[in-house]
Amino acid sequence: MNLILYVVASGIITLPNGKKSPFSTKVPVPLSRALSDALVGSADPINTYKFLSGSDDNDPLLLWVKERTEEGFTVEWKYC
Amino acid sequence: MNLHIRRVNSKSFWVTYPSGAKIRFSREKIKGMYGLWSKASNLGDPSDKEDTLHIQGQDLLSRFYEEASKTLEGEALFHLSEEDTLTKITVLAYGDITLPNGKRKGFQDTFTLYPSPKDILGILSSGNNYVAYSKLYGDPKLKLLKWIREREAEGFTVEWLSEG
Repeated sequence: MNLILYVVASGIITLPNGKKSPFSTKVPVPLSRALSDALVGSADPINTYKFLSGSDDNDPLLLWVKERTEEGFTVEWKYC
Repeated sequence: MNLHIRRVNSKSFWVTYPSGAKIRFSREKIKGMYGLWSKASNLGDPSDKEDTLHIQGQDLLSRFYEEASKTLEGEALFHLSEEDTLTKITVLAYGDITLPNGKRKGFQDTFTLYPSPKDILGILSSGNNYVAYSKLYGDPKLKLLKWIREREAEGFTVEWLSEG
């Protein structure tokens, strides 16, 4: 059974008018139930995802997570 | 295009638009518009109990909408069904944000509505026209304009990206 898991990046951005605003963005990830549950509960979701899905560093999802993390956002794997 | 007209009483009519919006017009106010309607449709007297109007031609349609927006009565019911979503309106807001790590980055956001019918989109080049449009075809809470004002207040530049 496939579920939609979301990877959510959240943080505080500064708007063009100078005010700070909470901001979040998310990408849907269709995954098996087993993999989704493992990721949501994992302390190291990136390596868990790579191990269980057989993906590498060029996986678009992992690249997205890496970019958001570098931008200073907090990234979570969760059901939405 | 069909407009369904139903008489409520001797002084007013309900007009059902393809979008599903139902608007009540008084007989007096409908009179001017009806000249256009009957010319296009060969429809009989507006006091007929019920009839269906066929309008053809973009120009005539535009004139009709223009008149309709001027003569809109206060009592109206609106809804927009998914079946009638013929096209969409997209508004784009863009500007530079500062990321949590302190770096600046271009950012844009869009707001999309799926109105009906698409024929009216020719007038949707400004917020004021959108107000007139929304009274006829839905979005009674003007959430599109609310979104635009919020983005402008945040310092973004807002553009009407598409009109159909």
